Amino acid sequence: MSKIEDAGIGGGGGFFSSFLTGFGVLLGMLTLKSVFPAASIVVPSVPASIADSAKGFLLIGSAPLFEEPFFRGAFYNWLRRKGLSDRQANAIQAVFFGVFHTLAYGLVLGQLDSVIVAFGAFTAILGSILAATLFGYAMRIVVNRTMRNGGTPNLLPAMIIHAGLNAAIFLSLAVVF
Amino acid sequence: MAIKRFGGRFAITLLVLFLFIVTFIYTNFPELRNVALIVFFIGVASYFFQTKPKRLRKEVKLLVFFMLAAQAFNVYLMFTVPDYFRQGMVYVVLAVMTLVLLFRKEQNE
Repeated sequence: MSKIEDAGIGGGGGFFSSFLTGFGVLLGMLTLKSVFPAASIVVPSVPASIADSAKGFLLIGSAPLFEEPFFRGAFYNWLRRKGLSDRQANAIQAVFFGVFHTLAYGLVLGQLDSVIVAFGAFTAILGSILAATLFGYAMRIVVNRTMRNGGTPNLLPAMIIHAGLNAAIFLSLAVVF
Repeated sequence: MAIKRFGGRFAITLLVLFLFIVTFIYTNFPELRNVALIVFFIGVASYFFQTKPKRLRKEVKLLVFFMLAAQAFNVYLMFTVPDYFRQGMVYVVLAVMTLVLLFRKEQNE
């Protein structure tokens, strides 16, 4: 098996094509949301005391700095070193990401409450896991595109796309997508 | 040198201790909570010193640098912003797991 490179920031060969892929993913998520309204990506909550400040904006933008390196970086690579193929490792990290997102933000921090009221608990939780899992899977594809032409995996485009999505939701003053 | 030699066991012990103490987060012991965090970061630092990540690529070192910078901001918010502690803890755990996986891999090579 060839050496599996750790993902970092910079060094990728296809930054712009990767970034455009991520932008397409965002459009796909919007389409999914219009077809299946319960498919919500819950985002980190911003405490009311800083919601109107730059700290609130930075907070929501900085979340990908912790989520992307773990799920698309270290955890994915750990799975690959266990002998899993790219698709297998990607699917597993995506499912973990989907469950993490729904548990941490949706249920523990209560961001899914309004969706649960609208669609019922089962549909809301399933929709949230599904949406975040698809997003997580697509983000590793975005990272893989930076490895074209012999480049090393670059997390930056995925981080920018992820932060952009969070920031857009934050600016629209909604906690669910 | 003591940190270097016993860093691994020391860090794991502290991590377990932290997980035990973190259960008190949902009780009304803010002082205990703060002490637990300080102890936790000492554990992380000792792990870092013990593994000496020489072979990490410069892009990965850059990522670690940004993660630590963002973590400093995160911890600052945890102690200054009401209702943020639990969410901030999620990011602390994610960052630590990332660093541990990166450095463990580096150690095994």
